Amino acid sequence: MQIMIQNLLNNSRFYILAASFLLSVAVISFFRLQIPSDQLYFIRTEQVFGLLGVLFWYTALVISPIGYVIGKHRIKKLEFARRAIGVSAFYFVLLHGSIALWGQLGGLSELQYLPTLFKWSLLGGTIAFSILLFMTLTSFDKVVAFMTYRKWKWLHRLVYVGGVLAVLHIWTVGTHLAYTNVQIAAFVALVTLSGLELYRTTKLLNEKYFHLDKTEIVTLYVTSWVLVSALILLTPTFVQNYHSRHNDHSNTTSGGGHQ
Amino acid sequence: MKKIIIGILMVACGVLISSQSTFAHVLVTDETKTKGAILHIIPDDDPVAGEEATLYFDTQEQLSDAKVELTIENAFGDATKVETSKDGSLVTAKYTFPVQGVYSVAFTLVSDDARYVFNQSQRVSRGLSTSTLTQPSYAWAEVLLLASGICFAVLIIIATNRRKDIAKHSTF
Repeated sequence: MQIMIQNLLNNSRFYILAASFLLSVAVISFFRLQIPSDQLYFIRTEQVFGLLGVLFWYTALVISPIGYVIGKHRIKKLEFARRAIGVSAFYFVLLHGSIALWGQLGGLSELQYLPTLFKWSLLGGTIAFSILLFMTLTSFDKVVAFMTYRKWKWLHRLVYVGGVLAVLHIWTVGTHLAYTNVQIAAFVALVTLSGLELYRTTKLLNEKYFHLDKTEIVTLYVTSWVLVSALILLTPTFVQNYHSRHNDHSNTTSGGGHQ
Repeated sequence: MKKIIIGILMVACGVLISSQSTFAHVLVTDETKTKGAILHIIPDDDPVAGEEATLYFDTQEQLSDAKVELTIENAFGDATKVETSKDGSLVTAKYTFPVQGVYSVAFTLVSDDARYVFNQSQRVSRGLSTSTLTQPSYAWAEVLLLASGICFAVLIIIATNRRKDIAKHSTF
């Protein structure tokens, strides 16, 4: 028992998970003390947990490609902590979804009254959450050993599908994304992540299949990065953001009714 | 390198948190539980008494032939009819909540064959006030906030004391 506790206290993952739990308790209690209105309390806590979930998820995703670019030995402690960061992301997303569904909306039965865009967005968010749940359930060492690391790694690449669905969910109904500075920050974050991931993918594919020379592989990498960046930039053209509609309306409506 | 990554993450958090105001959505269902509308209030879904607020109702259907009424009633039963404008499925109204308090917002949609009433209670807890609005007490939240702060401090102390062991063991 004592050895178990010693091992736990010497494991960085324990501190990440414990800090995440304490942070969630602090957020729940701090906002309750600050916001008297129940409705507004649910809105703010749901938003903060959503943001925390995204930040942890992004961190978990970006560690591996950074390690590939700069050398895994340089961030081996972060690589080790990555699994706990992913589990924390799941925990915050779980709180975000639970508060939105049972606090803000009032239960599953209320979903039928939501606009169609909301329903599609929530479906995407639910699938992304399910993937994150699956990742969390298979994050234990015993599961990795049972599955073998190679198969486990392949399975965990589903997290990128979940990431794309999460981005679409956030874009369609996310509240902060109606603002330009947040849009720029999100764009930079996504372009950075895609750039790092593409670097790894093109290099690995080249080593295994293409065998291109340096100029060709650089051209392939830059072209694919520009294409992916353009795709991210064009997302608003293809996918509607619910709140932009009201933003546009508030900008164009100068003389509404008054009391 | 770790410092650079943490720095970048902190800047990203700062940009996200520094956005001045936020939209959010509140689902309001009509009295007969037939229809749902999405209510937004600017600023921040948290209107300020004495300052103009913009109310948006997304009714989810075209309102060209429908009649729309918006009534806001204070805690003493004084009701004010608020002028609205329509744009597709969206109803917009501007209203200044005079003082802090709890208001009943009643939004009525009348078409040729039906009438739908959406009621929402709106608490205004910022801005002008004539009397102190009763603040609900949350002792559990105070205890939890204090406890989480203490636990966090203890966690940091333990982690700092064991930093060498953690660095040694927390690797593949």
